Amino acid sequence: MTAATTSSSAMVDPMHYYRAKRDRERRTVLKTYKILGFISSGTYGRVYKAVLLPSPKTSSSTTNKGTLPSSTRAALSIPKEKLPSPTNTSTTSSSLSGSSLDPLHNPELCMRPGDLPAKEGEVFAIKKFKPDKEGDVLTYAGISQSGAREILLNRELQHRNLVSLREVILEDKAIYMVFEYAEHDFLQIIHHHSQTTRTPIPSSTLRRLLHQLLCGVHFLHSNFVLHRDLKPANILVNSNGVVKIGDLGLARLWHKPLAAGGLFGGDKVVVTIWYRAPELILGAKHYTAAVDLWAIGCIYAELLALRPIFKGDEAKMDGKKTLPFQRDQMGKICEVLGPVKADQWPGIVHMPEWKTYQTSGPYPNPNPLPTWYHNRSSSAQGYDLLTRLFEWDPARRLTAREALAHPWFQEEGGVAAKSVFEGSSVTYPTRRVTHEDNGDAKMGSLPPSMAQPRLPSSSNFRPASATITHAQPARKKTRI
Amino acid sequence: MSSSFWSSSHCRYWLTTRPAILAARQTDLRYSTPKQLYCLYIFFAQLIQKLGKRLLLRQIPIATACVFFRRFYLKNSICETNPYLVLAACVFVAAKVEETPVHIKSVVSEAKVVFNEHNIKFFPAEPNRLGEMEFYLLEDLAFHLVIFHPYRALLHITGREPADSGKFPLSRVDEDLAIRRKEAEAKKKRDDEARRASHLPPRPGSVSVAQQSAAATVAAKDLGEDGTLGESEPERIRRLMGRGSGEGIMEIDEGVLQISWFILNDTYRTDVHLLYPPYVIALSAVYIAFCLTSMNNNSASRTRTSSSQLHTLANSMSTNEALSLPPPPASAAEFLAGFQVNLPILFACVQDIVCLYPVWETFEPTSMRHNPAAAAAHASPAHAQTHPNGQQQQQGKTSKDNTEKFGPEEAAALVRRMIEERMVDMGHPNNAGKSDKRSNPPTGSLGNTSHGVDPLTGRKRARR
Repeated sequence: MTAATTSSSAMVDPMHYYRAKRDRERRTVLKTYKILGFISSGTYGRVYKAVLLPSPKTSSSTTNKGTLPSSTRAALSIPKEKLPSPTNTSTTSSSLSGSSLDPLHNPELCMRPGDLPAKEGEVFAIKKFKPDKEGDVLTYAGISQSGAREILLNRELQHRNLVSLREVILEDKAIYMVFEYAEHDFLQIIHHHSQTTRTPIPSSTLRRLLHQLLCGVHFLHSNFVLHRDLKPANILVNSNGVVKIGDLGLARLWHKPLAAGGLFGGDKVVVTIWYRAPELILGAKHYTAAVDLWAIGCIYAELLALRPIFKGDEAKMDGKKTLPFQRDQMGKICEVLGPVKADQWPGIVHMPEWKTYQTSGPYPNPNPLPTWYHNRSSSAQGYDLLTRLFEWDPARRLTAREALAHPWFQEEGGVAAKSVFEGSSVTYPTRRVTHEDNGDAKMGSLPPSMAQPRLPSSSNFRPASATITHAQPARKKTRI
Repeated sequence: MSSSFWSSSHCRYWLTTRPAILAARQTDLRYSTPKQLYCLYIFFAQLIQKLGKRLLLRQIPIATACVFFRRFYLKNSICETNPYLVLAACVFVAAKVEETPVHIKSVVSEAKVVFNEHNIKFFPAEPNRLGEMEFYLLEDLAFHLVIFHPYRALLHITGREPADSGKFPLSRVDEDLAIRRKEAEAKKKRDDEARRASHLPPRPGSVSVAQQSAAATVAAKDLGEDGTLGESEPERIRRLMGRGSGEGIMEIDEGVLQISWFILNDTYRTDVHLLYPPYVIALSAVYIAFCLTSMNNNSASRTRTSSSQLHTLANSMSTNEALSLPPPPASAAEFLAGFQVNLPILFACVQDIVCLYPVWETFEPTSMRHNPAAAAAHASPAHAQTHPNGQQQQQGKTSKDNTEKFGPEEAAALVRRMIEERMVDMGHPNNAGKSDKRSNPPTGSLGNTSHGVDPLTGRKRARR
């Protein structure tokens, strides 16, 4: 019989056993977490609010599992496990000694090295990446580059001002990333002030928000990571008033061997249009961490004014291969900062879109920024910081390290307080969580009829993240 | 993370020990001899290299794929998986991680070509299967995807790239000058005030000090004469040396660097990336390169050809003098001794690397190594045939081990046989004990396998 099996040309696929073993070991999302509702969606997939479930109390059933008779095992079509491999025997014995110590049956324990421990009842935000589909059938087409980046960076980087990743679960051809939950975000705070209280953000809160944002960005930059998609919606604040930078889907290490054409070669378009630095608009092929600092300048201005400072319309690609010049966005910047002068940015004449830029204008007001600022704040240091973040020349723009040392952060008691909300009487609403989710039967918890209508997150229509919408305008999925 | 190896997942979770590696390979060692298994890993590394080259990947993604592959088999056995599917998935993920992504379909089609060259029919050429494997691979890698390679460490050690690239606004010399200038100005101000108080005209010499900021050595000398400065000398040396900027170290010959680089490429055929941090591997490569060049030419390490060393480094002698720091080391031994590295670890790593070469040479003689066509011509279909009876086969394997050649074709056949035997054993668990007994390979010339000794030297015994 042995001979017959071995000599048959059709070989037994060892991967069948391998997969069965791993599938058995896997803890599923819905057994580990209870989905409380749906938070948001994007081109990447959907985000859900979830709570960590307790470990199964029925210890008898879990202990049974280890000693399942082989007949039952066969009946349940569990592949035979009596493998004489040493690793297998060790796991079996440990699961026998106490099922609560088995991470598979205890969600509080970490499944893998590097996972973060958590307690029953803790709340998380689960980001589910859209699984690939061929027709109606789910397929494996390879995880996306942004998914890979997010996993790779979030697994390595730990910082107080960075959203931490508890674990990653792969299930049903989809990726679930379990992040710490943050109750607020910059966009929601801005919206609350502009729509509900109609008051400016208290200056102490604003200062701490910006300071903690810079701390996080400085951490990223000192680890050679460019975020490349800083915008209010991506910067979260938890209920303890700690800023958490999220969404590293566009972030990348800049010392990695570059694809042909440098940073540009990898991703043609980076940073959401309103927060995009002038060197990017002018078509720079090589850019630096200064693009993140420009975005921080825009966010700073938006926290002050409660609306985007450079709210340009995005020029679409129109199916052409070449990227269009973002004339309207550049115009919006010049309307506030005044036109670029050669002495402010000597390198500008070498920018690919320099000639195109010169055809735009004219901008009658040479420098409206001081007026813009003084309508909103009177701090001379605050103005100084803003102008240095809005430096045209990326080489002259403040770095995150320099910005952190800016004297403005020492005004009015400084930024020593741990919570950005300390001393402020404003209470911000909690994150809107709905049950409406017609896109995903598995995660949705209520029938659509019971779902509340979901309001847009802001009165402003917000442009989506850069890469997905603009680099691939025809929604053509590039699977890599 | 990328700036600090010490806080990385690579350092915290993925450096293991030789016994742990051996324990992880126990199942495979039931179906192969230690030497055969060692050769199989060379074989797979070679396939990763070929696939990477066909996909136009650079060395770094290829190296990352090799490390992923070895990490995967710390948790799995070759005979219980399809190593060809695994290695294709490793290349696919590594290309993404290193920011040079390739399309899943091109990976599948190129892998098909590479495996066909080796007469390997055991690869499911479907993107869907590769995508599925990617998921399982990521899980087994615990989603830790950032690998620290010794190439950067090598460039730092040899001064081709400052370790602090971009972190400090000024070079070490400029920074030192700036600080001294500031201190001198402060001193001059104090002096001037003191003089004004005593109605004395200012000394012209001290004005020139403040102005000659550009002339590095002159200023440094003048300031040195000035004497009393705010910072104490030990503090200053600590500050200057603490940057790890690579300035002021020994000049290293281009040839030595080149050899070190090639040695690093070869290390991906060994386990060293599971055992040692990248800087140890880089230093080991430099050590071997020094040994090789000094064997051929005694003065090799001091002759400079077209050096790509940084300009400041090429003048490291004068730089150090200007900063009044000790001169750079004059010999390779002194240079290596300057690194605070645990020597037993360094030499264990050196040995692990050196051991590769004789085995590799018998596995793939150099004449055939870069000629896949020649290798393919040698592949005879007879080897692919499996023996009907396990007992007989085992005997055949044993005799082959000592007498017959074990090359890539035999490796491919062995992989197939290992998987088949394993699947049979798993299907008949009652025979498992028997197969255990039978597959304990007899101790041949390669050393004491029952102690899990490395096939190559018996060096394990020395280490215990």
